[in-house]
Amino acid sequence: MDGECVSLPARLQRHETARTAELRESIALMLSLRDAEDPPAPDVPGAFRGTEASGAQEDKENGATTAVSAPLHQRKLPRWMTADGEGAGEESNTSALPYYVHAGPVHYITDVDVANDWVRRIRAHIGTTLMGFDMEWRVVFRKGAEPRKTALIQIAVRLLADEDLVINHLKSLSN
Amino acid sequence: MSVFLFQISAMVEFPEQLKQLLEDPVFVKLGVNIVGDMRRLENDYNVEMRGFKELQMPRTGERKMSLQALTQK
Repeated sequence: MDGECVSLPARLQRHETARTAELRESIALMLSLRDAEDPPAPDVPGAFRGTEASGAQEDKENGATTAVSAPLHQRKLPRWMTADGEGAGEESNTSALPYYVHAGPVHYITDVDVANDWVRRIRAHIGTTLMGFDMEWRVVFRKGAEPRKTALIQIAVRLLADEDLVINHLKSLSN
Repeated sequence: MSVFLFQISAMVEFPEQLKQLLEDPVFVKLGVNIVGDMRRLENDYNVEMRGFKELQMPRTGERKMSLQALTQK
């Protein structure tokens, strides 16, 4: 590799791998929760507070009891956010076309030094000067509240290594 | 394609290299409503993003295209 390339210390690389695995796990968790039913809204105040409330629930009609033990953080995503959702793309004329499925690596970076190292690497190994860009921040729903600072910056780049992947893939197809 | 997620909120400061990359007009940043993001970055972290292209199609009378719709091939 050329002198421009900054290789990450092994310790940081391990950290990155662990982080990426963590991210993958949380995505898998999110997908598994996607199909789970939302617990019905409790009609008894305090029904979600703990075990003492579940006793009261059992005296009520059947059906409401099972939902009480369901985790509260369960999250149901809108159908359009899922690749196989029925409503996917219904607002555009491209609904019959397949989604872009990202098969490459995802690097989740929470450390300044790791971030700086990665950007140097991106500069040294970028295959094109184009990059996809997006960012996220926490929304505050209080009226007149100061919006939160940008929390996450997302960049999608085609690195030379990614092109190697594509070339190898094409080679394997032509064989 | 490689994807990088920079969790700025977990960092002690905005990464200088990332700031330089975003401010470098040679590297073109593509995004939906990217001008909004540019203003926000300047306001939050004093990052003056240069070299960007808007992905949203300015078609009047039609509903704005979401990033979700644009990522369909």
